[in-house]
Amino acid sequence: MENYIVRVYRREEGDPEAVVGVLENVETRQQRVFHSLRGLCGMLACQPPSAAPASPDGTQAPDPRTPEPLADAGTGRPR
Amino acid sequence: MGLNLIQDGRHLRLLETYAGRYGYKPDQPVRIHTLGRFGIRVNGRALDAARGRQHKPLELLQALIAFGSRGVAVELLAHALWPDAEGDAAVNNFDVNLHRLRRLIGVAGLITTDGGRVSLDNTLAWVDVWAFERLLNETDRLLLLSRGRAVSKRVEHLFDQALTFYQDGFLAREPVRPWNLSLRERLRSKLLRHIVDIGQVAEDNGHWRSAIRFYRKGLEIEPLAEELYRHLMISYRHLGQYAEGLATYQRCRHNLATLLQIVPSKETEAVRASLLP
Repeated sequence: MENYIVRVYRREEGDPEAVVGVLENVETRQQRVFHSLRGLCGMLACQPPSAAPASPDGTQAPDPRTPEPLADAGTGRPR
Repeated sequence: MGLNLIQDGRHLRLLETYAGRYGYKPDQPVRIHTLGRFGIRVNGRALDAARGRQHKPLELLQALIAFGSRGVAVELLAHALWPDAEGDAAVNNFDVNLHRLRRLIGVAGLITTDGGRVSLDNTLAWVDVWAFERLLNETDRLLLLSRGRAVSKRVEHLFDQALTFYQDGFLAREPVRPWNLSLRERLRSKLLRHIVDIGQVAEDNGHWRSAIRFYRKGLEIEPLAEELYRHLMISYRHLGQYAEGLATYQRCRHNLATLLQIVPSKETEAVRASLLP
């Protein structure tokens, strides 16, 4: 059995597909970020997050000690 | 399993003061702490459970609490704790470990079985989760009654006490198990919802410092809750603490970018703009 926690942090009004959140494998505590329902489903359908490579819709949650470059406000995602 | 039993100390005394007000009675010989470090005190003394054979009996007690403490089916507990056991082995293991647990704690009648169901006697035991949930339920009840200033102070006071109990998630320092995860997540979610609700009550009544305390606690629990950052910024603005408000925005922006690869929402940007000179 595999156990996961799905946390949703943002939903786009009028676009049910646009969901931002984190999928966490509770055994390994490894987290992956998704930016769409398709991305989330892809993570669950393909491989456990601990083993899955980064995909277009789902990216490995980076180490918080190494910040990503910021995007312009209003675009939703960084460049 | 790390059995870090609770030692004497100022913090414990504080917790026990609140425990006394919220459910603990002097004739309850057993006190069980599960929010953060797991620990048991029997008649005021920390249980010496640092011996290897106590691991499974204590896990049985933890699972009993996780499943609701009262009227829990033996089979449910047995199969949760020994999922790979075949035939009657899981229930046999349960029987052996229940016997060990009873002997370890040494309080007759603490754990009862009746008709294939197990219960932890709440006249003999005080459990921090019970007190924590009771406090949250009491705040809910008061919130429903009124949103007036007098109620607000009482609600904030009760909630402060609930926060004192919540040192960390349910069995947060124990290995993750499917049976402890559900309660851990439910309590976490419930607490975050209360932080938003009661923070709003504090805001509505101009209790900005209380609101700030609640939102900061919420962000300790969930550092990606943008709504909490936004309310924290608003609270700082009302106190004229613009630099703190902007620093909160920067922390929000940093965490969202680093952990979610997104930027703050328009709502958060609007609050930021209101903080600029």
